[in-house]
Order: sequence, then C-alpha cells, then structure tokens
Amino acid sequence: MSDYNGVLVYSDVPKIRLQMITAGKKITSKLGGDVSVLLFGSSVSEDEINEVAKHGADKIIVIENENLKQFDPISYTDAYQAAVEKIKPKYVLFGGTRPAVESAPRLATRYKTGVVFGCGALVIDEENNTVICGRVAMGGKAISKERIIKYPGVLIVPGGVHNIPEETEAKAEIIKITDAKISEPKIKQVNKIAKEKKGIPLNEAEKIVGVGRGFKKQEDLEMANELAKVLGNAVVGATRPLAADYGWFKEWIGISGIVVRPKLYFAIGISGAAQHVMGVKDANTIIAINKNPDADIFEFSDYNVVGDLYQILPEVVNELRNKLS
Amino acid sequence: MVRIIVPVKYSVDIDELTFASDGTPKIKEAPKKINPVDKSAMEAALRIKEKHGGEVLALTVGPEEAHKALREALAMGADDAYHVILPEEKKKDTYLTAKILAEAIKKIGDFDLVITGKITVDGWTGVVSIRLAEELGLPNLGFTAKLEVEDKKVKIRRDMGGYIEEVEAEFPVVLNVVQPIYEPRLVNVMKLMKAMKRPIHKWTVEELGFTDSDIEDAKTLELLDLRYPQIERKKIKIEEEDPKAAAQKLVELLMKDGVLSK
Repeated sequence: MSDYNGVLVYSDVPKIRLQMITAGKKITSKLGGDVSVLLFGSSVSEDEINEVAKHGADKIIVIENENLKQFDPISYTDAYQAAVEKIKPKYVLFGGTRPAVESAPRLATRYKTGVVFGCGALVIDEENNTVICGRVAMGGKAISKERIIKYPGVLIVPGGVHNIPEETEAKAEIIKITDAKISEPKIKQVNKIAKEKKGIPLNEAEKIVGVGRGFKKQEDLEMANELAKVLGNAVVGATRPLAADYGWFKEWIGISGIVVRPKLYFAIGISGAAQHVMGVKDANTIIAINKNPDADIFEFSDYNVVGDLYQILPEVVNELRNKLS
Repeated sequence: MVRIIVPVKYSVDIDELTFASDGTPKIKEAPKKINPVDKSAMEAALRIKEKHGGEVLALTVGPEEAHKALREALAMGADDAYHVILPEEKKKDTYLTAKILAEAIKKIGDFDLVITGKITVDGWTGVVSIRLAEELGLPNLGFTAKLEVEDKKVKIRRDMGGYIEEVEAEFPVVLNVVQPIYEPRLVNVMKLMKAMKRPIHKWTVEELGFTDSDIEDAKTLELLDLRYPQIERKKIKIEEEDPKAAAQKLVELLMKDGVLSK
C-alpha cells in the first residue's frame, strides 16, 4: 500500500480543476507526495497546461487521444487508469461534476478500492496517514465521516468548497502518456443543447434569496425579486416543492438539486427540510424569515425573524433601500 | 422484446427516521420501504415492456425482510423477482453490493438493459449503479431523464450540469434514472396481496460464489461516525411584533455585524 503516494486530480471544468489543486495540496502538505493534474482530450492546448502549471501543479499528465473527444464513462476511466498507473497516487480527487460522478466510481471498482461521493469536508488524519471525508448522508438528515482503507482511494469533491490557488511560478513536470489504451466510445452523443445562461448561476452566487412554500402565489415572488434587487447581484432560488411540485422554478436548492455556498442566504418562508438545509449549510450567514417560531430553519440560521413574510419582507426591502443607498 | 433487470433496495424510510440524544440515527427502529427512485426505475422499465414487449425482472440484495421491496416491484408489474440474501452483519460498502448485483445478473442471464435509481435515500452514495456497470463491463448512462428504445439501442436525454445532451448506446447498457423520470404507477392493496403470494427466487451469497473471505476482502471503507448535523449558527432571535420594527432591527444587526455594508 505504501506504493501509493501523493494525489492525482481531475476535473472536466477548468475552474474546478484549479480548486482541486488546493484540495490536493491540503492532503500532500500533511501526507507528502506530489499533486499531479490530469489533462486529456482529443488534444490538449498549451494554454490549458500553462493554466494548471501556474496554479501550483507539481506534475501534469497529458493524454491526447481521439477517443477522449467527448464524455464516455469507459474511455474516460481508461484515461484515469493510465494516469494512475503512471504516478500511483494514494488519492484520486475528482471535481464533483456529473461526468465525474458517472465515471469515477468505475476507477474505484477497477482497483477494488473505495470511493466517496460528495466529500465536502476533507480532514487529514496525520496519525493514521489518511484522509477522512465528511459528507451528507441519509438523504440529508445526517453527516457521515468515512475513511477509505484501500488505495488508490477515489474522492469526488464538490466544486466551490476550495479556493483557486494563487498564481505562482510554473515549475510542473509535464508527462505525456502516448501509449495509453483508450477504448472507443460506446456512447454516441446525438444532440448537445447549450443551457440558456441567464444571470449568475445559483452555485456561483454570493447572495441568494431563497423562497419556500410560505409564498402562496407565483406573483408574490415579486417581493423576493425586490429584495434581490436591493441587495445587488443577488439571485432568487427556490426549495424543491416550488420547482418540482408547483413548476415555478426549473431547479431547486438542496442536496437533491443544487448545492449552494453563498456569503449571504435569505431563507424566506422556508420550513427547513433536511435536504434543503444541507444544500445551504455552507453559507457564511443565513437569515430566516418564518411565521412559525418552531420552524426547523431557525435551528440552522444566524438571524431568525419570526413573523409573516407578507408583512416583514416589504419592510426589510424598504429598510435596506434606505440604509444601503 | 426487451429484457430488463431492475435492481431495487429495501431502504430506511428517511421521513420516519429519528435520532438518539447523541445524534446517532435509530436505523434499526426506523420503518423501511422500497427506495423511492427505484420505483421510477421500475416505471421506466414497465413502459418499455408495454411498448416493445419483453420482461421486467426485479432484483434485490439484502436481509430476509428485503423481499418486501420485491413485493412492491411485483405488484407494479414485474414478471419475476430475485433476492440475494445478505445478512445485515455481512453487509459492507458499495463495492460489495455492486459485485453481488453483478454476479446475480450474470446468473439471471440474458438481458438488454439494467435500470437502477440514481441514489438510495439511506446510503446516499450514488455510486452503486456505476460500479455495477464496471463489474459487468458495460457502458453506463446516468442522470437519465427521458428514455426511448429503438432497434436494440437506447436513447436518453439528460442534464449533465453544464449542458443538456441526447446520447445513445447499443444494448446491453446500465442506466440510472433520476427521481421524476416518470411518476410510478400506484399499487393497490389487491395487487400487493397477490404479489405477496408470488414465488421469489432466493440465492445466498455463497450460491453466487462468494466465500467469507471474499466478503471480508471487499471492504473498502470504514465508517467512523454518522450523526445528525451539528451546525454552528448564531440563532439571534428577532421577535418584534411590529413588522417595521423587526425589519429595522434585522438590518441594524446585519450592518453592525458587518454582514451588509453600504
């Protein structure tokens, strides 16, 4: 087992890839070894390599292969495996994007090892020379702490938890793997539809106005829009029922939907179901407005305003307008 | 004719889960039921069968009582059901579950599709379906939100986070579906009563070729702690009767504490 050392990181999303370098360094600074970043595709540009190098990668593994042109779980796993064979990392860190979720567990299975999905809290256990992962479990009702006991361990780490490292002098060793055996894709993409980009995506927003079932009619959401406007650069997001049951929103905040990490989160008319709360638990500050003094949300927030949102919210908007302008 | 295997889990009913005073969940006392999204997987399979003909076979791995999940699948319309008995004390993590499912599927024999739910509400690992595909040496198509079958091929539509795509793959494939794929059909008491009398194929893990040491070796994770989240928050109460006064107090505090600034 001591054959495995250091960390290999991969993400298909450039920004998350850089965040994974930070997560990797957190591990190697205590447990030793290098942070190696895997880049692959039908071709890999100098720009991509430089971007990773100047953010502190120790090694960069490059695989160029036609079969890696687009996502295929088996072809991608072949690329992960080729990199693992080359550098024998103790941990392989994947940024938690959907392609990673659909392929990283295959790598763990190939090596008969463990995989943790949603490793939000990464704790280094120096005494045992391992990483302990804290993750949401039991459908959002509990936090579980787990340790992989076989290597290379596969950790799927959510995006947005770790910062992008400061730029530094690039000194990464570049390793090109030219003889990797990459299977031909079994999955054929027949249509790709870009998502409409409207404003700031929820998972990148610094201020979020969260709305729940306390809003009785769709037009009442205008009050929340007003609050978002007065806060500046804030995004309105909803709980699951408003999206899945009422159809007022396309997506929802929660561990079954989108996990958010804003600086400021307003929870308005939100009762505080476990799956929602766990999706906002990493917000710096949470403000809850709810007319039920026993609402669960008050256990998870910093400023608890007990009262009817229909009366309080317009007053909060007024007050902010006066004080912030 | 499409032959479909649907693995289902008899899971803790999360809505009924309670916690001990130290914050640990009372899993043994909690009621159990079929994992909700597994019913969506069943529904997807049944609709394919209704359109193209074929068979839907339900499969579970778990202790004796897990047959109840299969009863639900039979009541929904499964043609046959298979139960690999894995006593609670032998249970390990996702690696073993996927290995056992793979061996059971190989023993069941010919199939075109395996359809699973994306995640189980209690384990909440989201990796078993993908591990299973690797064990079977098959492609996996996940986050399936809509699916169609045509000429020994399956075509799905899914949201990959950054983009939406339509992809296709030739049989056999392992699919995992997300919750609202199709509303699962309702099961009435009559159907459930009938399903209770249906025979279920039962295998032990030994019959599938697993020795005790195989099972021990399959342990890849150590669970160190599982409890109700302790989230540190200030919990400052603002209970002014007058909405305007409440709003003023809130904004004053937010500015004083540096949460908001001009």
